[in-house]
Amino acid sequence: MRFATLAFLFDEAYKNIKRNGLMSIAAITTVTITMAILGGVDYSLYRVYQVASTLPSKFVIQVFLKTSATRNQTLALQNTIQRMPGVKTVSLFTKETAWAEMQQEDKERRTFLTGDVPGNPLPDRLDIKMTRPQDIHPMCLALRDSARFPWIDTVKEDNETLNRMMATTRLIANLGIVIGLLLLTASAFVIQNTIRLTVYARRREIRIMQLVGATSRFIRFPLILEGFFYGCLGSLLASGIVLFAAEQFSNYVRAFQTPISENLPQGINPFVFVLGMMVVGMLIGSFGVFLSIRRFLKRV
Amino acid sequence: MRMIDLKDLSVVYSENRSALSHVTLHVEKGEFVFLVGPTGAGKSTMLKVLYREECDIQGMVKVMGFDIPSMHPRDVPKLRRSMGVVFQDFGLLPNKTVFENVAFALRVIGAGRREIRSKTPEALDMVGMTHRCDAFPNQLSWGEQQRVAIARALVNRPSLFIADEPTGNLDPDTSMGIASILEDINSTGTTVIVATHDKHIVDALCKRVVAFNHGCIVRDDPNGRYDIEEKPQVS
Repeated sequence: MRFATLAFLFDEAYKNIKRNGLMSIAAITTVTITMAILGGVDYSLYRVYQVASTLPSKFVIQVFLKTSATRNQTLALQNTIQRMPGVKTVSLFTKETAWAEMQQEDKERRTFLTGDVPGNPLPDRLDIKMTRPQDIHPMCLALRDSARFPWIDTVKEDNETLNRMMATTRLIANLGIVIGLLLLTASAFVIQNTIRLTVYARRREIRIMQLVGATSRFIRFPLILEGFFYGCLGSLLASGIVLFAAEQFSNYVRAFQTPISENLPQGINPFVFVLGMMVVGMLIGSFGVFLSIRRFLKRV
Repeated sequence: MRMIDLKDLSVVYSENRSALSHVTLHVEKGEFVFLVGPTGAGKSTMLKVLYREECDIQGMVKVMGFDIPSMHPRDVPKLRRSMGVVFQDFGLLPNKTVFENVAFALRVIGAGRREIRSKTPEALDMVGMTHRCDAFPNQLSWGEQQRVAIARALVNRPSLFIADEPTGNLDPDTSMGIASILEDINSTGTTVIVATHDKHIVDALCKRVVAFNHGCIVRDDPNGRYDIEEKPQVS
């Protein structure tokens, strides 16, 4: 295609958008609303999934050592566990610290239980954090091997809660994919339908172009560019609406100062989100035109 | 060279209804032909066959060397670009100005900006529409729209010019103005085929007249007049 022709086709698309003002506004508004719903729901589901998926990683395996274990043996064990695959951190909670905390609590509550106990009866404790929540249970089983770890007395894990939480995270992820796909399909239909109306309104124009000798490619190109533009601008506006609403909602949640809201994970990178939305919008827009115009171009 | 070569052409819609029936017609290069006849006689269908809008055809149809019945859809734009057509409803693009409408015919053949800037005003000048080049079709009168449609059809300097009822709904003076433009186009060597009901322009120009009735050619007169027998239809 010659540069002059290409420049003309771009110019055509621009003029068509400008001169079909009302139709263009209708198409852009439809794309904006539909993409805002799609983007908003997907963004929210992703955030819920993000929060849910961080919760299992907060789970800690508590390993209580035998009271007879020396500090050197505890430190050696800490070192061994730290080197095991999948381990994120291993922190030592010494029996001295535990005893001091207990005594302090005893004093505050006025239960006076520790006074009669001779010496420190508490063991050292190792708190293990795993990188992946699904590795927590296998790790516990490994630590319960008394032949390999003779100084370990008890390994504590809240298996039931962890499993429930992981199942919930999986459910949210799967639900997100299903809802996302359903909404994407619905959005594609709504946008395609609107674009089909804009193309239908110009079917006579398309026919005249054919009768004057324009090739299908010549007719199609500016219209696809229009669809591309509708999708692009609509998605950009929709992204702005979703990101603004998400920011306001995050601020609202943070104001409650709950453990979840304080550790709210970072949201999706706005640039990536806008880019993703625009790509989806542009694809639906231009493909919508391609499908709509096909019917009219079949007749030569 | 023959511009149009039709042999035993029929356009059949159903068993009982055909728009054209066994039409044989030859038009030489540079000829001016009027197609006349009552409404429904087959004049417009005949023109549609020539620019391949009508596809349900039987028989031999050759237009400027293109074999219409066996033509690949991909080649149809090539055929249409080499002729200029004035449609019955003008067929102007509503969202384009007069200038852009005329220039569009040049755009589709890939003409450059310089060529468009020189040829478009020339065509508009020929039909006397230079002063309205920035107007949109809905801002023009019927006669003006007709002139723009003619300008668009002739801007490519086609070797075949087809007009379907170019003076329909126009007053006698404007009709004669259009007739004069058609004669000018023909004088440059372009073959002109005009389907019309307009007795005045047919009689005034005194060109070849091919008369249709019920889809058949009933008369072919080299220097004819619009004097076919017409019975008024009573409903």
